[in-house]
Amino acid sequence: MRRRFPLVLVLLAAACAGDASRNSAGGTVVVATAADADAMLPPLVRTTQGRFASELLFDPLVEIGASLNTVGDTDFQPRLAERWTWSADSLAITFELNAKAKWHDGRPVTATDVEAGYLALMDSVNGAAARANLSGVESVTADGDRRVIIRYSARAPEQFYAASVIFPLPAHLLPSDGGPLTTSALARNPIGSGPFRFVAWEPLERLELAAVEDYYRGRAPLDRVIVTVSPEPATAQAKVWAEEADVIEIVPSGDIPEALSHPHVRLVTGNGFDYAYMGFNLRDSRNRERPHPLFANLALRRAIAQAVDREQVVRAIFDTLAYLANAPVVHRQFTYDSTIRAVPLDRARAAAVLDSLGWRVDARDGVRRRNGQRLTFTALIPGSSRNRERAAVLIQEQLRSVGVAMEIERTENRTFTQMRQDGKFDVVFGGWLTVPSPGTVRGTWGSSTREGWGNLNDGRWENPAFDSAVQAGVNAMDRNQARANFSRAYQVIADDVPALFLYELRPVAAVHKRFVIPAWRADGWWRSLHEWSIDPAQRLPRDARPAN
Amino acid sequence: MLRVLTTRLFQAAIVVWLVVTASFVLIRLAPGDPFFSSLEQAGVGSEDASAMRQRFGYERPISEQYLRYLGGLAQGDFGWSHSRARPVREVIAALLPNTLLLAGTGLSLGLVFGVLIGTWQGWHAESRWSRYSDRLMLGLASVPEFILALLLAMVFALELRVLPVSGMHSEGVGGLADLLQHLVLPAGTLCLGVTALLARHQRSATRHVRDAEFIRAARASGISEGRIVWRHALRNSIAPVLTVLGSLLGTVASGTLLIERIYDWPGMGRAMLEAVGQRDYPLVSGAVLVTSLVVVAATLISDLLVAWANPRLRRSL
Repeated sequence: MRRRFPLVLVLLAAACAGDASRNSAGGTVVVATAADADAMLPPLVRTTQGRFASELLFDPLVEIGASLNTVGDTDFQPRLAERWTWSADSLAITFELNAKAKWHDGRPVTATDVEAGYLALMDSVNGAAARANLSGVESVTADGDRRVIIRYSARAPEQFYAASVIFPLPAHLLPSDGGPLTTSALARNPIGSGPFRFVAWEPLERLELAAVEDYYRGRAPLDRVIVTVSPEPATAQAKVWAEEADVIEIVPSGDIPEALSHPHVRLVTGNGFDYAYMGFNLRDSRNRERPHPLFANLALRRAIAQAVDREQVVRAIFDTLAYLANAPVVHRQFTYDSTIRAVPLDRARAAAVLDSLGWRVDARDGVRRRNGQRLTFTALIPGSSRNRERAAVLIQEQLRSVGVAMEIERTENRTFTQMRQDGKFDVVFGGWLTVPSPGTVRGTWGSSTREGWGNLNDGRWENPAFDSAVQAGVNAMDRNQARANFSRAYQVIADDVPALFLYELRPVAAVHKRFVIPAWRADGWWRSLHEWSIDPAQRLPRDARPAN
Repeated sequence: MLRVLTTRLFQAAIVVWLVVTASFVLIRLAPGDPFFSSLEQAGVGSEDASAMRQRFGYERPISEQYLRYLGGLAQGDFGWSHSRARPVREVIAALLPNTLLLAGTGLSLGLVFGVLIGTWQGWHAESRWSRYSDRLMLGLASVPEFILALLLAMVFALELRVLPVSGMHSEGVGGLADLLQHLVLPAGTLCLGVTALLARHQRSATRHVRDAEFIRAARASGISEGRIVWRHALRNSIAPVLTVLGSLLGTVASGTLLIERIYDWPGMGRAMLEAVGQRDYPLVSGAVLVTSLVVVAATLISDLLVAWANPRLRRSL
């Protein structure tokens, strides 16, 4: 009996240790954001805030790894699908679903749910952004309860990436009458399959999610995630400084000294997917059938590019918190190429070219004229972007030094979008939030896609050499070959100057120091949130709130 | 009195209808629509946006949209909020009480303090402190509410850390005490503005009454000074202030928009501002309808209060 006593003690100690580790888990993360989630069902989500909520609530079939390599399947992680096999001709992939995966109402995730998720993404009424990635998918069919087959119309390097945008939906909760998903009960009270479940959503104020106890990949250390909405960026920041919130996704470069003055705040820097540019309209803003009177001329576009010191603009606004962009690609895309040469700064050459084009400096106001017409144009900027506004002001000053007058028209966001879509601008200070797949440049700068020319490519630039190089890159089965083709496309666009690529943001986030963060993902920092934990020694009163 | 009330209600209905119609048309004339939001997120095609517009009938003539909207209203259907992804009726039901709490607290405290301070100032108009406080009120009335809100938040929430920065509740706390703590700054901002404006009116009304014959008569009959002020002078000086209060309601409603936004107060004003930015047509129309109903009803009540305070005005109503 005496011999057994230590064993009992060991068991007791182990039990206590179990409790202790459970006590060290838990806690609440409060995220301050600028806008509310637009929706929480993946096919309906259109904003970053919506993606945040939907990707914590719903798991995809597979998830792209931290490398963000979109070619092949080697860098993808299993999620609802635990394994997959390719058909001999590579035109079909069979996914085996994880038997432990359950919806938050306790029902198992089945192959029919994968079909339902795919159909919802493809339904044009839902307006899913991910639909563009599924253009090569021919069908998604259930083969029994736990097996689903995705068939493709052709082999493509990003075939598997397409599978990663499919988020299964609970078929048993979808509107039975075929009614719209937008107004369904599921949209307002989402039942997901991800690491956190829906608790409450108070419009404009807060969203609350709680850890799923029997999550098939293991319970998240945190008990709950709360999102508080602050449309005023200053208020969102103040919440973090006052320890009312724990995370703010973007701290403007000018507010970093303030952030550093709060000892509980840690700044996290990573690469993002945003880049900004000054785009030229190649069509007349009054009649889109005609070429633009100024910017249809390549020599003039290049002269303007030569007059702009982009490096100075980017450093003045961001210091080191942005990269100088040379092409429509960001560092985290696997096709990023640092050797792309943009038109170099050379104001003397710019002045000479403008002279040769007949634009002579007029002594009256220092602005160039040709046949009595002033060399002037209007730059459209969105009212919400302080960075683009500052860039426009700096470029305006630089252009003035070579006799070019750029007027700045700052508009409210919807008006900005409408004017872009209608082509009612000379120059636009635009930006794109891109994705890991480099093929999206077909839509934004290409002339061969339905989404592209005249829509996302609102400057209506077209260059067959660019289109074919991009297409070759998209079709290349080998990563190096894809890179080489995309590099060729990037150099074409840099030389043809449909835009001056300005900067690629390196967003700085502020996070409360008590969190232990394993990774900060560029394609969505929340994607590692289910692994975050709290240092027990630094818990705040709100962390003690019991799990729901 | 009943006939007067019926007439005023009829006039109020016309005002509300005009406001709702104007907002319905104006928001649709503004560039953009509810489905433009993700243009800068690569990958969204115009075909999808077009399908969404068709589904919600935004491609139909504006007159047809208007008739359908009125038809919906008649059945109690305010439409679907695109930005909130839920029926407008639910959004309003969740947010209106918060706005009423904020505006009601700010306005009633402002009324009480404004009348008290103004009466004291008017009664002691020649004193140095009365003049100083009058200048303070003038200064407060001149500061835009959003600046006042930011200053108060910086001092009390960020520097002194005695009050929360924003919202209605602290995470994991809740309860009435917590709500009241969160109410202090936004309602205080509103209250300061209202106090400053009303105090100035009350001051001049009290000065006017102070030298009236009935006050001298009351003094001569040995009534105490306090009783003269609060029982006789106040009753006779408050009517003009109540009239001002009626016209102040619109100002309070617009002030609430900014205050709710700065302090993250989840109310109608903030929702309306966001809805305009998002071109959430149904929510804009619903919020304007409800806000105008509230303002018109409150103005009506203020008119009745004026009549209560001054029987001579009842006939002119």
